[in-house]
Amino acid sequence: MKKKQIYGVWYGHTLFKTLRIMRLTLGLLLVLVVQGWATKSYSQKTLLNLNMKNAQLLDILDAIEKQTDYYFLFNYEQIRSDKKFDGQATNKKIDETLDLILKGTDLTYTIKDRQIIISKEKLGLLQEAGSDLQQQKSISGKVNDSSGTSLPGVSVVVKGTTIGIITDVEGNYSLANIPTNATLQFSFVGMKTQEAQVAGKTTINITLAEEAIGIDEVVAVGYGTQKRRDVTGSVASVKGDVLNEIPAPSLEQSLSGRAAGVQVISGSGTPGSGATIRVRGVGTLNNNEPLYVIDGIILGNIAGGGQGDVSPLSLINPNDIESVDILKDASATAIYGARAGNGAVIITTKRGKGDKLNVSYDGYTAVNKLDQSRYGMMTGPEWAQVYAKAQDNSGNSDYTGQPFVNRIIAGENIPTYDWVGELMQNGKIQSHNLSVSGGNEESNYFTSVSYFKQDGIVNNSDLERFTLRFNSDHKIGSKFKFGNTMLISRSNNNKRGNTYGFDNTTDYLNRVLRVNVYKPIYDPTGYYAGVNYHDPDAEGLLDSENSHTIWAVNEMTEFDAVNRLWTSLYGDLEIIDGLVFHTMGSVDYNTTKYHNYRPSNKIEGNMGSPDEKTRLEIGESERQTWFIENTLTYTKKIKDHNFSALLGYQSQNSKFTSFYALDGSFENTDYWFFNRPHLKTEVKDAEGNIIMTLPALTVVAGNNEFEESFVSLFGRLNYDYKGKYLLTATVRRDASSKFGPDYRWGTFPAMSVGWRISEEEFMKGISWLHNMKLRVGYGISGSDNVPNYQFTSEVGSEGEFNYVFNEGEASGATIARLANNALRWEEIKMGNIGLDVSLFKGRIDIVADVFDKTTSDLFLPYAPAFEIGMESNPSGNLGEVKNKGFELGIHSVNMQRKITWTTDFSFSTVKNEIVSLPQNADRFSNVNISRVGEEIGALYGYVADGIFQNWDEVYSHAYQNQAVSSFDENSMPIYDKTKTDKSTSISFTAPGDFRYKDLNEDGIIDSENDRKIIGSSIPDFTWNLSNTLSYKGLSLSFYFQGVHGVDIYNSLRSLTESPNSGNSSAVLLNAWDGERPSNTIPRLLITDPNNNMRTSTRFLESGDYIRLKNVRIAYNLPSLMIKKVGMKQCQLYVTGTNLLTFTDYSGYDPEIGLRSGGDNETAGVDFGTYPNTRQYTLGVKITF
Amino acid sequence: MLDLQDPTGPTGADFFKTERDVEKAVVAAYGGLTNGLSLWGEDMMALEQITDNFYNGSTLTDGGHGTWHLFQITPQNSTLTDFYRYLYIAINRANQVIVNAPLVDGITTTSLNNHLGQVHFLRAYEYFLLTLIFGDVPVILEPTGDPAGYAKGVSSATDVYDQIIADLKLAEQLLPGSPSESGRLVTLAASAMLVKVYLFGADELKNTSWYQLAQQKAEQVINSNAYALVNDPSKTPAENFIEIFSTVKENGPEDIFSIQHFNDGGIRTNSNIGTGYAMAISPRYNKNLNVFGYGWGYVYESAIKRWDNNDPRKDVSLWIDGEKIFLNGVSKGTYKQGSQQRPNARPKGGGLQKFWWAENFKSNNAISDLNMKVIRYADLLLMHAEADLMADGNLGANGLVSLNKVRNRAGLNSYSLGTVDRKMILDERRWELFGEAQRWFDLMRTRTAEQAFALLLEDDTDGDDVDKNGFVGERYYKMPYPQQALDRNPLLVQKPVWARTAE
Repeated sequence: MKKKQIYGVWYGHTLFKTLRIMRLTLGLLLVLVVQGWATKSYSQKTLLNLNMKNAQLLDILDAIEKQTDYYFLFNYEQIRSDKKFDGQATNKKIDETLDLILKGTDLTYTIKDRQIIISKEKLGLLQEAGSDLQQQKSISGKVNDSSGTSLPGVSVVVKGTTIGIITDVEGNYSLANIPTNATLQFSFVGMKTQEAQVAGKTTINITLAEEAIGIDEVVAVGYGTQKRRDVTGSVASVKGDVLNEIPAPSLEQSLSGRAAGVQVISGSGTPGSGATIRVRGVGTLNNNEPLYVIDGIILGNIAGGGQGDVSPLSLINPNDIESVDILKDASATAIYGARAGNGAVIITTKRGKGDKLNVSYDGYTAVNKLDQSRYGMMTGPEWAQVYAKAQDNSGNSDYTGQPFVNRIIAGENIPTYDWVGELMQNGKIQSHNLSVSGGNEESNYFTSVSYFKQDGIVNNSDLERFTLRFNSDHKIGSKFKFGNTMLISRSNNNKRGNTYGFDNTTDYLNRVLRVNVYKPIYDPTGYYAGVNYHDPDAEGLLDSENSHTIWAVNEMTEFDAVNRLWTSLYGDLEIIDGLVFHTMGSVDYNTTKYHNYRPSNKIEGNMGSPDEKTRLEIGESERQTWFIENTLTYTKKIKDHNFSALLGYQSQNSKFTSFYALDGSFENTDYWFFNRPHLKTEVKDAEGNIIMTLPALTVVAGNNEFEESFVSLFGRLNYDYKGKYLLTATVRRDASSKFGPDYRWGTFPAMSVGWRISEEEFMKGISWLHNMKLRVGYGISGSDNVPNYQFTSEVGSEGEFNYVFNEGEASGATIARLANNALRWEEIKMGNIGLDVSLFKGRIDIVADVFDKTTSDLFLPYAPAFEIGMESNPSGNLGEVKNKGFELGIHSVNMQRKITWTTDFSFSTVKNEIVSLPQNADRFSNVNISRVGEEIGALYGYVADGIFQNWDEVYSHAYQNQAVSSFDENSMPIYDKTKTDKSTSISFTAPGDFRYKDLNEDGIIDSENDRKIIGSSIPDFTWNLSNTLSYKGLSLSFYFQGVHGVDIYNSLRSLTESPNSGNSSAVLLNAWDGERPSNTIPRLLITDPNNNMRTSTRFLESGDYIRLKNVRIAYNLPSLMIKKVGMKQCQLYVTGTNLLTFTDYSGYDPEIGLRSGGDNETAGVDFGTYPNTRQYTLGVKITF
Repeated sequence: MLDLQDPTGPTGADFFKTERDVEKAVVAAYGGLTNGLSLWGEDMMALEQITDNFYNGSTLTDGGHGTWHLFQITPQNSTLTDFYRYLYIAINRANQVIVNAPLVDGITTTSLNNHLGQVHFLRAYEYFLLTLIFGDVPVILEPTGDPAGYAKGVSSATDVYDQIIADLKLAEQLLPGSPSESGRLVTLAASAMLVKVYLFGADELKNTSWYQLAQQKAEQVINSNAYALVNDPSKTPAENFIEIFSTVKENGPEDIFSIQHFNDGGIRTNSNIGTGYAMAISPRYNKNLNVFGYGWGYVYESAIKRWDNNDPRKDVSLWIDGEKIFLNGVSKGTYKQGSQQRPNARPKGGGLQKFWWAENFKSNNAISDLNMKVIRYADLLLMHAEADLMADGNLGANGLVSLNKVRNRAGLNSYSLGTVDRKMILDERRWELFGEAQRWFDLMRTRTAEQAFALLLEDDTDGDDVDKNGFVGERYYKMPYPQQALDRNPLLVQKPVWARTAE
């Protein structure tokens, strides 16, 4: 295992360097005999100038590589020496130079065009090795990667021999005198090895596919990296370029379907909306977000994004991401101890690659298509029919707006208005990203600027983002390294249909859906139509939906701006061989500003704006966090025993402050400032005399502040014997300021072992088995995702504690929460067993894991008796949740000839169960329930059992709200069966109403005994299937996502499927009627005595779907063509997102996401989510 | 570094150290009555919607009180839960003061008594509301230190009344004679509250000896001459009557105990001091007409029909379809019952005008600064008359004087001795206290809701006033315990008649 040694020596910090050395090593090992010639000859006239001072051989070779197009191939072990060179070479040819520097060594060199092989062997002798082969001919060709870029340095070897060559800078190769029945092997580190039969051909062009989960891949494991082959925990990795295949504003959306066991729940179509990530199910009833770590900076368990939230991660430019590694099991996350109980997402950004200047541009533009017809609302005349019928059924012979309704029914053509169309539009995205990287032996850098702009499907909603990144690494001598990471980011977000005093994610949408289509949007002057502008017959009818949504969307402002600065500085010092001290200080500073503005308006009857006053609210918050991280790493090899130990300390402090001011009494729209003239309100009597002057209505202001700290000590030991038996042991001690002094510290240990069965002697004979590793791990981690200062008692003051004396506000306060000094960490225990199998030289890779995760000591408010009379409930560590699951990931290279075809498949299943809750009491939230023995956030309601067709059925069923004459001695209602007239049907349960199942058969339909869990908001299993096909410069990739065994409570239907003066769903056209029985749509009635709208299976639907999530077609322009204009690569691509969905769900979009804040306890309910739409993208990637 | 204190406020351990803390806790105890949108915020309106006066003009799902007018009230109902929960929160705030204030150093006896008097009164009023709504309820008299596993069974209504009376008697002793600032309680307020407690308690507990106690207590308050009806001889009866509900003449001679409200700038961020009650029960917003209600409460056709047109209180209490709206003497338009922007507002019937701002004063963003009367002098006079009548079956001369004072102020004829029965006094209460969240308690304690609701149907000309068909006396005269309260307190057991409940 020579490669491994090279890793150890080469400090291992710069990923690229390491890979490059590996590549060369591999090249040399394979190219022991060079028999062919590269097709092109290289000018020998190149002259070198070298100035060597105390230089090592490797440095010199590097310098030559930089100055010229030459590149060297060598075995690092052979050329490694402490010998130093001094002297000068001026205008020397390459052979002269090499003679000079290799003099006195046992090394020799061979120049083949631009490639120079340095070795101890005499290549001339080896050349003869293949000379006696029979039936020989020559073959040539070109090797590209999947993007169509030519690949230099690929080893092309005749299988079973040592004959081979390395491709030149153009990716070309040529081999002479090889057998016609030979097989060529093409290999390159980081790529899948491919084979091709010569079979008489003279040209073989090959496209190499990247090795996605190759065992030599390096993965981030927290405070360091490990090779995948040595990893004993459960870690999923996604490369940056794979992420970028889906154009999305925020990286978590792009993670969707890329890693088994990582569920990505789309937020919504709101601009900037992220997605919620659940690693291995829903562990707690609190914050379930994984820990995000970006370049070593711990961002915390930030909410990825429920509906309407703008993801904090959207501040990162996805193009800057090198890789994302997701730590899934406790043995992997334990290094983050108490912070990573819900998994950890480690994001590594790109760094300079220490070679020539690399400039690239990536830009795209996208449109989001909205299909309005999918809402299924009624036309105006249909509404009139339904409404008149409902009024008639309700016994209202004379109702508001009746003449108007009658005119419509009589066939008068009264104009209708498209409120939905006025609110919504097709969305647009544009994104531009420019990056520059480069450097030299001492220093390298990566810098990028990006601009992103998304216009949402609701008018005037948009998100704009600017980012600037600068990462650099520097070396001083061979022992000291330092560098930085920096991101400056700004986003501007105009929210619409999000929040304005209420959870309004969906509110605008369901408001416009339900507005009466006869209600004009504008009056003849072009201003927004008020209640007084309409047909006189319709007075009082058209404005039941009393906010003018279009006015709100067009005129109100709800603007957020976020600035974020992440920056860190690190230093690495190799104290002695193998012992590295690493220190890092970092700062995460962000500010958020919001500016909410509601101008005065003159829309009559607009309840949302009852006068001509303007309301202005401005607020800002600031959060500053610093980290200090110090680690010592020691790596040591003693014979076949490899040790690596890590010892670390980390501390963190965050301070948060916020301030807001608002005033709703500006007299006109001109005032955008609080420093307006002093206002007074005069109160006049009937004669107009001023009888009282009230003081100016004051600005309301408020602020908040908190601070939190962590201190952590941690250690990790990695040991392996011959790379065969692996062990990782971790322990972390964490302290958090959130807990009382006695419970502040927690200890979180973990251990995992691995056995690479394929390395055993008895397995060596199995040629198709490339790698097989068994992993077993167990660990304890924690979570402190709870608000600050919860362990103390609390004094409530102001607001609801105030009162009025002497006509002025009196300030009140009292004890409003009891203390709980025993508050402590939530604890997560997880066991994991995994198997990694790699078959047929890595053409098929399989990773499978089973896990068992228990989250206990859940931090939940205790719900004490109301009689205690406390404002807020004390919290305790009560409750436990279990998640068990299985994950499978398969990567397969199906075809590797002219066409390359790879397939990735992942499958995840999680079984969630609540083991206990505070007082074992159910936790209700509207439609959801969390109940012991069941899943978190299950859907709960009555079971609708068809519709009563006649009075006999009504009076023979259990009591819902039938007319009752009296109650018997057991409090059982006695029906008055004589009541079958219309008046009865208006007030009581009647034919046409839903029949609900009497689950406990006690004769009464009651909420206590006749509701049950009717659905699940957690899928039984999910899968993803992606395929990539490439042929020459063209590539096609597409992937499907499948979600099964999940239900959606379509709450939007519960708003639209009842008749009222606003518009309703077209299903009402098929409502139950004496002459037209229906078993699904109840009778039309204005009131609802039977409560047919109650939460029941009536509105429950399957949320299963299979979705063609993404299709991407990319074309790389031929390199000959683009070379003329100085480009290295030019790729054009088109992408379609959410193109096809197979689902029975009747709502707009089965991917409904989580409610604001990402709360799983309210999942699975569709309130008319701002939908994910189809997106079409056109983009270009250019590299210079 | 790990020892961090909340910079925004003290913890409980730092509180109740100074008299200033006690003062704030007393304010918070008053605030308990208007906490959020509870009680005198909006909830009390639900008690009007279960009377023969009002129905809900909005949808059934528009607030927890949406189904109350239909008597679709279940243990899960959020308004019902609010009543229970917020009353106990208010009680705890009083208990905090009662237990902690005496332990505070440097507090004089006078001021301690003053503080304690106020919170004993408040606690009594809160238990009174609890027992009126729920009947038997748990009685908690001190704050608990350990919430875990806390459970408490109910006390009988008789015991609850005993506690209420004990608290009020103590408050009578401790409270000052005159308020330090407007809105504060005084000793006579406790006496007046005792009148109500004895009178209602006499009906509720069938404890007829209390009628006389109520009568005596009422006479004590009347004879103190501390209160008077608003009755300026230079003004019309209507003008006098409506002045009680003027936002600029609050805490007048007639106010005994009022929930104080203050418009805090038009933004409903602090609904504790600017409330929704008057808004909630008033007709729908119309800016031109200076009408700013939420349109939850509308008046039944029957109430309009039964209310004597010669009663000047009727015109200023109600909006009736076609009525001209005058603002500063200028006609601004017409009240249109048929054009209310509420789905369930019925063309016949009317709206409540009583809490309307006749002043040319722009209200802000749907907040009223009108105080709400818990007891006013007219109420006390009527209770006096009723207690007098009930004590021995005959209305005495003193009782008749009280009744006639109220009628005369309203510009109505005096009744004469021997002609007055209880129904006439209850009707007088209905019109005098229309919309003031008193009607339900009168129907309930006299068990006369069935008869009242029968008249609704009788008077309904267009067949839409069928709401009260769902009323069943044996259930709704005492509401069920909220389901959440049952879930959290294992010793609280649902009433048998509510043990099986349909939704």
